[in-house]
Amino acid sequence: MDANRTALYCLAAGLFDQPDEARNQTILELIRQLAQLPGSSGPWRTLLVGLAQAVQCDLEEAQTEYARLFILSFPEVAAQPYGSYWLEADHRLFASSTEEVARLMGDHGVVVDPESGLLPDHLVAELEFMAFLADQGEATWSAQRRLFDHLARWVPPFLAALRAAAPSPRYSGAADLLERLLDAERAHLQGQPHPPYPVPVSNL
Amino acid sequence: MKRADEFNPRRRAFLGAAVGGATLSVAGYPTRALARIDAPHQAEQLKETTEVFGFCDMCYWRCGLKIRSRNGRAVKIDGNPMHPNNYGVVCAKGNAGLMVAYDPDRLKYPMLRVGARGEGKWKRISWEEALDRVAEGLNGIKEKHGAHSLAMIGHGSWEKPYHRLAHAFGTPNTTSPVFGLCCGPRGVANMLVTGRNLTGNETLDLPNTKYFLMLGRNVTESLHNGETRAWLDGVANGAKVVYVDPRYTITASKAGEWLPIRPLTDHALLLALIHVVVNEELYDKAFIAEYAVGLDELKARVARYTPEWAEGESEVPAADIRRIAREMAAAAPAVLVYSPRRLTRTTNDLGTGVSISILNSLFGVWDRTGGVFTPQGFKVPEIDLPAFGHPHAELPKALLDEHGQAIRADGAGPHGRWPLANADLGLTNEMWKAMASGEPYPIKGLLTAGGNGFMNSTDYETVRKAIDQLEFFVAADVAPNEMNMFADILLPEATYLERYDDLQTGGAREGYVAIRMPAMEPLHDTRDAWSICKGLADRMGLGQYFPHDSVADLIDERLKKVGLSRAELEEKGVITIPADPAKNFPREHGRKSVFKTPSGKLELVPSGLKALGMEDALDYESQVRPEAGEFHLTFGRVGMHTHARTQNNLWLADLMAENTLWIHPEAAAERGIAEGDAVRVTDRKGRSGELKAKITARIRKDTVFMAHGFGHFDPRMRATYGRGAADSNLASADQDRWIGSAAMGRGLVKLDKV
Repeated sequence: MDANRTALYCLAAGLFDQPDEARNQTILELIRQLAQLPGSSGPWRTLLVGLAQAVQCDLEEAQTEYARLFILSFPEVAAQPYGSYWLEADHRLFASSTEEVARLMGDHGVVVDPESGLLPDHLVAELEFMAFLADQGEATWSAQRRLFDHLARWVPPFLAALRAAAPSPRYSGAADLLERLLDAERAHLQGQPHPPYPVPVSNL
Repeated sequence: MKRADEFNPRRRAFLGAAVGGATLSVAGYPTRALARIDAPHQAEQLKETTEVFGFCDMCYWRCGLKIRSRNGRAVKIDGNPMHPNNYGVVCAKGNAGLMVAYDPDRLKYPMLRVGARGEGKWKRISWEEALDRVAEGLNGIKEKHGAHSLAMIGHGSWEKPYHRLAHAFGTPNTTSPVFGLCCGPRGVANMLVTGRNLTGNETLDLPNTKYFLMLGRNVTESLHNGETRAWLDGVANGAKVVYVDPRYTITASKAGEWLPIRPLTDHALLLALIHVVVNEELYDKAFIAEYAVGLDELKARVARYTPEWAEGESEVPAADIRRIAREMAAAAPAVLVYSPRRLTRTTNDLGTGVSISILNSLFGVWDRTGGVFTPQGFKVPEIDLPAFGHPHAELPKALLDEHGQAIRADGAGPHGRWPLANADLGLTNEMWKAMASGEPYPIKGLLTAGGNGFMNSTDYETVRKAIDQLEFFVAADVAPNEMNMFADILLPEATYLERYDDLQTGGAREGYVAIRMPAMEPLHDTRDAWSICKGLADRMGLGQYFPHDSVADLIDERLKKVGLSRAELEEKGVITIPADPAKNFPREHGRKSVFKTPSGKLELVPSGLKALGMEDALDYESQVRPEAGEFHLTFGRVGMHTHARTQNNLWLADLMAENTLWIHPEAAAERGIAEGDAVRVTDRKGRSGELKAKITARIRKDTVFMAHGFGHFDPRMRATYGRGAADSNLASADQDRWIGSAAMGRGLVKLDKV
């Protein structure tokens, strides 16, 4: 089982979602689980420890920072968390590239929850969907590759924009985690050697 | 055709899929974004294409639309061929409506200000918290300062529920720029002379008109599909067009004659035309004898306004004035003095509007082919609501009406300084001034529904000062802008493609009622105006004014009153009463015209003015003249943008991203200004803007022009930020002395090459 992959995608999704108390607790629990796994060490562990500290900072500050980076800010939103923004020539949201993700979700029996206020290619939706697919292991291998390809096309410029905005430790850490995760996934999903996960997949 | 599901803002289903109730968990953790699809094989149903009807919100003509959606996503906007406002035609703005919904910068979630006002620091809050806070904030204003200390400014087809909410709250201070900053004077003028209102979707028989005298009515660029097409039909049918404007517009290029009138002197031209018509007895004698009063008095009033006098004012040759009067009389009644749509230029726009109406009356255009027709209305009664109970206000007696209620702060209406101004729509230009000055009483709360005071009023400083006086400011809108940046709470509205709205009823040759249906579910966490207002009303103890769960229910009830249903209306988008020539043109069919003035006749010297001691509005009032080195500043619309609200639309910005300053070649050469040079425009107050020069002989030497709506200074509007200059901060803040509307055309500016 790719349980640690699933947990990492859940963690990434939580970090890039609107901060609140409950979500922070979930994030901390995920970090704790990942960090305590046998063999967890090195850069991953350092990253997780740093995130755990960052997540416990003042909640209102985190919410304000989240709005600045991803929702509404002056002079501009630092990093639009929508795939189509980065993939469409006119930067529109809810575009044909969004529809591709939604169709993939539909093929696997899920949709974006209407109460979430998110679009199918919002970063949180895509990461949760990847967690959902990863949780099903090799049975969804093809879909995982397709979704990863989609993520890989827009997340790098998104992360570059995020870092350019000098984010708080919570979001610089989230950027580091997501970048490291995608680097690991790139090789993993292509069946090639890859940087180590927090612990070997086979140990979970 | 698939009909959209009944609107319910709480039930959203991307791609039309049914959503399971159970939360989806992954590895023991509940996801936030994902839910399971209930029905098997749902993916097959995702391919549906739906088609719904609506009416456009990209300008104020409100063309009928047919919107196709695929997989729950609106993908194409076409015109509704059955809709009388456009008969299937959609312009560039209408097509670009999709990008309003898909704009990455649109407001997505309710936001609470956390930094200093205007600093731009926010945090997302839930709708519940947002509505609670707004209700608490507004009620707090009422308790502390009285209900009258709230102003509501709306702009757009969704403003209606906000007006209702504000009235229910108990403030008289509701306003919309449509009156004081746009069409007010001409509407009042027509009512005074004829008892009819020609604003809105105008009731002009354009295809059959034989002679147009167009006073800055740039009908091809202030583009309204139905109107533009009908006017072009008239031109194609051989109508003569005399186009009067300091600038040679695209409309001028379709005209037989261009009169580059001196700015702000249309009234002089009109008075001289009236002078010629009455003195040479060119008017429709039988019509005037039967239907009009006041001819002799009018004749005496215009005795001094000879064509020679008018030539001195307007620079239109006296011989041309006489010739035009005679040509129009020969073509009457199929003639039109075609009024500017926005008649807010001078300190006597009321007089200009009255003169237009008088001249049309003298030519007997009413209810005649090629003139002005009588529209057929489609009356759909409003729902029954309790009367608004405005509370007694703790104010000096002079500021109270006979019921002890506060009079309007902007002075509009029968109790105010501007009794002729519409007391419902108010004078937005004067409201900003009242808010800034605290006179006649302080305004401490502001609720805005769309709009942008900085870009559609006349002075940044006044608007900023007005906002600085506020204790609570809540803005409902679709996109961020310069004004709502200062709000304490932002309420994100669903776009017109994502919602039902109240019915559109109108009168053209056909009467009609049209529906706006959601072509897709609201994106992000946005809501329609009716849901927002109902949520607030319920929290403020005003729920009786919003008795329906949704606006869909509201229109259902309204339609039932006339024996229709929403389902019927959704089949075609519009239901019409067929054109009836006998009703549209009664005088062509042996019937009588009806004029609902106090006398029951056309009033060539309106009794409504006399009763107020305002008959001198008929007289000419000299306007400003530029001194050496100065220019008249003129501004107007272009075909691909509407007011100041579309410049950040990515598709429309692709067509026109910034405005330029039109300068005559000789004026430019005197200043060493070449095509494309950056030019600084500075007015007498020292306000300035910078934009690129467009050197053209298509404008008078004493006049410059810029397209309206550019020069946005909010960097969040990425497509338009810093591009071009804003006329709104250069226009005059004077007002019409009779009606209080803005006199924006009185701006005088100097130019410097940057």
